Amino acid sequence: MLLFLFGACTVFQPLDGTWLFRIDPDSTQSGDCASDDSAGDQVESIGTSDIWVDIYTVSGGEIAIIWDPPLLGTLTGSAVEASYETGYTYKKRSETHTTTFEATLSGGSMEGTLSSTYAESNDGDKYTCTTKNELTATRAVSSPDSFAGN
Amino acid sequence: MSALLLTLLACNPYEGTWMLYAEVTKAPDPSEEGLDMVFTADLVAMSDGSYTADFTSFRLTGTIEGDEVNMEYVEGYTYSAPDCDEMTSSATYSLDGTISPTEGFDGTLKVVSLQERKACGGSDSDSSTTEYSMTGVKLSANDDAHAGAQSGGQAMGQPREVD
Repeated sequence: MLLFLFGACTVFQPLDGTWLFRIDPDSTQSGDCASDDSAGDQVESIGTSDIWVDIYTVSGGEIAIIWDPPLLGTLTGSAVEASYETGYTYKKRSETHTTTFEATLSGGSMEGTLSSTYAESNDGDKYTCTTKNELTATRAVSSPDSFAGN
Repeated sequence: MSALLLTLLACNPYEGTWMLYAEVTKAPDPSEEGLDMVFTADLVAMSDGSYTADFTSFRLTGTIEGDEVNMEYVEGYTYSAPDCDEMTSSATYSLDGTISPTEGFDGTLKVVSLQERKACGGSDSDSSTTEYSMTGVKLSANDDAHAGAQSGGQAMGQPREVD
């Protein structure tokens, strides 16, 4: 019985752990804020913005990606989807901010996008802007216990 | 017993917090040569067999094969204007050397800054190289022995953006 309980506590969850997100700093914009890339000056980044991100499986089988704010979602097959939405409605005005992570999991790696959508509606006038960044992610296999200060 | 053996086999001898001593051996401004500094970096093993050396403000990724370390980090941008003007600015950090859990790390960090400009009328470029002689030792991570002390770096696993 004890052995069964111990085994149940150590079920491998493919997303659980610390991941290195390597984000392409060059974002694409769509919606009302989309720019015309065919004209004007252009700046293209070299390299990636790298950030450590913890991912947990939470009760109920959902996943939590510790972003700012934390993203809640699912792993279905190899498809990872997680999002967070916040906003308000006051009389005829509303605003929403949505952060969405979508990726394909392959072993200890992921490839996908991180997007942020701002939508505003004010007495019938609407405005939407989506900013999207491509990223790859690799899971760390080191134990946090190996690091001083943890 | 077998679980203990598996745990020991799984242990990566390189992963952990390293204290690194760096001395400038080559710099655009010769007066900087000979300067030394000490800092910590977390060496993290990744699932694809690569390693990430986290220097807090930047992260090098690469390989450790045998005892040979080869890691790199690149940052920069390319600016281009419709009138065929183009400017590239980049910095490449390369860490090479040998590593051993008992002997420590011995190698070189090379930082190459490059500025290139291409215009309709011609082009020019400028680059500078700073080299650091690096030695390092791995810290014991028995944090239970320390009264709340923190290392110079930040804990792994906390979202931190590269500057």
